[in-house]
Amino acid sequence: MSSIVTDDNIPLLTRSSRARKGISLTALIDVVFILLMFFMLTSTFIKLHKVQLQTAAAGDEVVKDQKTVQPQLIIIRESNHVDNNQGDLTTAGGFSLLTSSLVNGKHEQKFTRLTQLITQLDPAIAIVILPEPQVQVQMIIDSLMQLKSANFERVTLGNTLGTTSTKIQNEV
Amino acid sequence: MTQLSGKRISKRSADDALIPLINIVFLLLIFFMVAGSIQPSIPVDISHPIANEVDNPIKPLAVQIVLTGEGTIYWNEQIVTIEKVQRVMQEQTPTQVNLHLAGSIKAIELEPLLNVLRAHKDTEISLITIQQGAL
Repeated sequence: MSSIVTDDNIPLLTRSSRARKGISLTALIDVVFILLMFFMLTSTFIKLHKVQLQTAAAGDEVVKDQKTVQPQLIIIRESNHVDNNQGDLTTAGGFSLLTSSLVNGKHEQKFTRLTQLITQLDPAIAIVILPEPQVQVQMIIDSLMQLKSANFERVTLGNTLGTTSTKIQNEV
Repeated sequence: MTQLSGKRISKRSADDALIPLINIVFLLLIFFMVAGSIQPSIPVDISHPIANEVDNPIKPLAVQIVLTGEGTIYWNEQIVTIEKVQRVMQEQTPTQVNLHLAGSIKAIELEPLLNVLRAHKDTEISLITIQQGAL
């Protein structure tokens, strides 16, 4: 094979190497740029998470001691007041456990912090959260998270109080 | 001879000059592939409620329903009325619904939409939240 030798005696081209062509990097760059554009446009760094509102477990009735047990109802109050049943109003989280017991013909509603309320709840029985109309979604989420962190898995969001779809029984 | 060697050297140097560019582009590509995540987009920008203890990523194939503070409802990027939501729920009966709400929306504003969704017992309703400190 003939070869062209440069001044440094390095063969520049041979017939076999003439047939071989180097791979162009331009096409590779094009593909990589297109991939980069795709991921730049479609990716997001905000991680969205979900909180389930309705679960079959929360909706199931619990049979306890051969009796069907109704879910425990928690009311989220609009205003941030705590009524300690003595007429004193203090600013705190406003939650109330709607109990089924009657005191002088009325439901005993004692408004307290959710952290204190949790100690009175039974994890085996479903919990339904009933927000008052002006309660914001953020507060509902906070209460759901607080109950979840206290290992209450059977929690669901009920109807808003004061609407026609809400019926609270006045008798046991 | 000198001309040929000059052409060969310039071709080689052009290819050599591209190598750092390819390096940087690959680095950027790997960064976006690893750090970013592909999630369904919503048609309006709302401030989702914050929940820090949640680590439950959303399912991208679920139906995306957005309720804005003004009361506008979006079903997968289309503006719909509450009656249309009811109709579509009956026709399509989706098994999973992602509900995007602003944290400032009140329970009374959410009630009609939630009643329509709750009527379908087989539908899994998920409220979408973000973690505190997220962009």
